[in-house]
Amino acid sequence: MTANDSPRDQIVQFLPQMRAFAISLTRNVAAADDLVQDTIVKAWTHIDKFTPGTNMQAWLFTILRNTFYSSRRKVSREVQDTDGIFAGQLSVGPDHDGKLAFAEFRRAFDQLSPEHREVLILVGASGFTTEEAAQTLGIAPGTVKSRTSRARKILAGLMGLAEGESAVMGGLDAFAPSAPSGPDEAAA
Amino acid sequence: MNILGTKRGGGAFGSRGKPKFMCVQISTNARKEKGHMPEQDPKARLRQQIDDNLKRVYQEAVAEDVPDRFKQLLAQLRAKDSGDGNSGPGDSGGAHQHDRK
Repeated sequence: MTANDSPRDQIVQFLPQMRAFAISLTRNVAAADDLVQDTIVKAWTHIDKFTPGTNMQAWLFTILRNTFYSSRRKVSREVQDTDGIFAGQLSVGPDHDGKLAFAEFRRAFDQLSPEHREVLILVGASGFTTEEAAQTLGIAPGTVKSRTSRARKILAGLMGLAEGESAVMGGLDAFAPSAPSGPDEAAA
Repeated sequence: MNILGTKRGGGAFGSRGKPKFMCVQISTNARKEKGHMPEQDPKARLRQQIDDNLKRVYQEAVAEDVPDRFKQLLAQLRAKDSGDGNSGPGDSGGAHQHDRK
């Protein structure tokens, strides 16, 4: 067997992560799968843009999110149908022992803007360093930090948790309805 | 999740691919054990809880089975690529039925 180490061969290795990231962005499995599919084709086609030895996952994530945002601009309407996805899981009430109820967390997470979801997922969950996240998102490391911190605050607010407060209060309804666009830094 | 269970790519990545992200562990449960939560900065604690939940959201998605269509797509791309001048989809593991209609 000849050395078969085209970077292309690494793509398959990151499919689960790509898909998870895509789901984080779209909050919709079908849309996420389409997104992953487009990303695979682009990555395959433009593999020469990848520098061997660098972080392939970050590279793939970059393609994925660029694809997401450009297609979202085109069909900005279609992306709105995400509300009902986890509806079945949302009946769980908040814990009162200071822990965040997962279903509630998820609902709050879904209400974040994709820009906030992605930075939280990259930095908080997927193990990216600030620098890797910055590179993937095409923003400065300082912006990654401030955006992450802002996203956390909004998330806490959506769950009725003031920063520094760790009891989960009820009354989610006060935060739930529409208008997640209000406190978004992106406008500024 | 058997991400590496597929060996179509020749399986020889690893030496420089450094899949360090695979090692994301859910440390959620460590903290879930209730009881003596040390007197901790509540802000740090909230942050930790958020991160635990984020990891769970992400890991649940990572752990899902990857649909076959992606591996088939990769096989098709490979076949198309290697068969550039000639016809055969040939070597890439064969026997995929056409998936889309």
